Amino acid sequence: MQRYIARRFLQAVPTIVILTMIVFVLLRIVSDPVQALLGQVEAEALTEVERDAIRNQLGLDRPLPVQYGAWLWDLSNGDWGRSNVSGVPVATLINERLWVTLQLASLSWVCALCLAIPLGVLSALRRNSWLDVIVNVLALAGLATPNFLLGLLLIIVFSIWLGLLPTGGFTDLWEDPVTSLKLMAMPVVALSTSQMASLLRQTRSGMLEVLNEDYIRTAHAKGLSRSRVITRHALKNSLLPVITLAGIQIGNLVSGTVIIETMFNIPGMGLLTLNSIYRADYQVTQVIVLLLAVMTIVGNLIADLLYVVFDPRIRLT
Amino acid sequence: MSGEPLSQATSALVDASNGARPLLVSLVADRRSWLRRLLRIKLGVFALVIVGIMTLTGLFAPLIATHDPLALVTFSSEAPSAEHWLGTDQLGRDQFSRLVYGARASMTVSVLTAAFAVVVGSVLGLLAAYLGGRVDFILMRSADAMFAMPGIILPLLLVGIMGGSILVVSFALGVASTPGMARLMRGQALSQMQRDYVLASEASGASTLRIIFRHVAPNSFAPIIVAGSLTMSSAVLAEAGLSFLGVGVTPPAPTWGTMLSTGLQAIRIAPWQVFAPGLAIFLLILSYNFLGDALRDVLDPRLRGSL
Repeated sequence: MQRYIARRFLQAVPTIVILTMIVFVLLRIVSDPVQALLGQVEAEALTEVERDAIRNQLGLDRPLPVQYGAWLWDLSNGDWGRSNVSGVPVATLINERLWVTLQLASLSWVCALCLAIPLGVLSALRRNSWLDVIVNVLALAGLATPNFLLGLLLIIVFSIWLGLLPTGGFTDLWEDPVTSLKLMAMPVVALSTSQMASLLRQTRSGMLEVLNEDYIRTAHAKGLSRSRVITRHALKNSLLPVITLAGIQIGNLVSGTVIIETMFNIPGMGLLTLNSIYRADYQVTQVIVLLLAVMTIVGNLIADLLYVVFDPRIRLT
Repeated sequence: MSGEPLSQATSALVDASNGARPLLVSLVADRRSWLRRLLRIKLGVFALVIVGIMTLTGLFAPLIATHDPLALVTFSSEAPSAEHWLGTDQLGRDQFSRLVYGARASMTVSVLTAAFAVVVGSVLGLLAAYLGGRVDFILMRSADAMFAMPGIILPLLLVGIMGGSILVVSFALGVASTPGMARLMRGQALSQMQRDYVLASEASGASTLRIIFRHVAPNSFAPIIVAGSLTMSSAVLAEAGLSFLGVGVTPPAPTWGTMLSTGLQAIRIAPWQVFAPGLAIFLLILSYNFLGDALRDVLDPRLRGSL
């Protein structure tokens, strides 16, 4: 087990190196750091000599591989660099916002799983019932509704027509749970609906398939209670692909926060990502991409490890 | 958002990998499966009709639109009327005409994105499968690297570099959907290459290229086509998302995503603005998803009956 985890991390190293290299090069094509630092008007007023001086000061006149190496070296020494727009250390910027996004994303992820699995199981057990039909229609609709559209509709209904919820902002969940949940209700619903829909469809089709297996009939025949057959035998086996999907969806959730945080004005990583790409703040952007990649890879690793918990037949080699 | 260009294709893969059930079992077990299948075909027809209407709308936008989509025809946002069927936005532009021209953006982006991903992804996947070794390693590690980047980041960066035109947005989304397609094709091709007919054509002296493109590729295409239609659906979603963020097709060009973000700005005064573009996006994505399901049924009979 430990060896497996160690090997998976080793395998992730070339992936992350390639990714950071792509982003590193892309960012240096996109951004004019002088302009990012001074703003367009002032930057255009500079002479070529002055621009070169600034580039030299930022170390941008060195060859790309050298810059990349230097960046990695600083990272490994715990120096994440400073924003080339505001000069604030990248670590501070991220530290302030990561927690916000973690609350939002994990709440959405848990909501999606907690609703999708029971509903998926129920609709599989009562196949072709009115419940199944309604759940399926809603799931199809959920898959076809972009999160920003859902967010807009929620704002119209709950903020404007009913006046129940505020249209945006953020409060920490631990400081003021009531206000925080009020603020996060709409973003969480908007973020989690499509995830929930695809998890639900996966649970349902997995259950339907498993319920036809011989061992389920055997379990019934040997006199196990219905609920035990469903939870211990059917559900456990049909959850495997659901877990994989839930792992993949961590990346989707993070993507989603870019739009949802912009829409609901939540000061998290998503908003930071968008703003730093907008402002050509390459120092911040490259660290964010690295963090997101690590998070995605760890998410997939956890999903793979959970496989073993649910299916002891799988050996990790 | 599920908009992540790859998510739906991936979930389709998960569907496909475990959806296979003996046909007999599903026929006996589902008393109403024929009804379900009929419904599925009807949904496919519904999807084709919607996609057809939107394509025609996009193609003949100048004939259908009642106003210039960029012209400021009223002083402020007006509610729907006989003159302006869907009202006007707060800049005074005719909503109906913008909606019609928006179809052009969405249809073009979705078709170009899927075409790019299918062509480039298939070629790369076939190369990785057939050449193996170092080429395979580099291609698949690069695919992993792109997978590790949340779906919207790469398009954001690429549009940032190249500016926002319909072509650039399609290219960016196409690049982002390519790794998924390449992986799918590689898996398909690898399993096809185990088959005897490949061995037979090798024995009869066919060249590598001929085997790849005449034999392996056509036999691997069914899931690619299904994934292609799901790519179209996620491209519509992603394009609308980028436009909504203001980093898609450059304003003032009319797209549904831009209409939504204009609507958000005036949501307290004129909330009805978002309904028409929202419904259009919803219908188009829904249609592409139905189309994908229907195609999967038609092209791969083994998966029939699994939703």
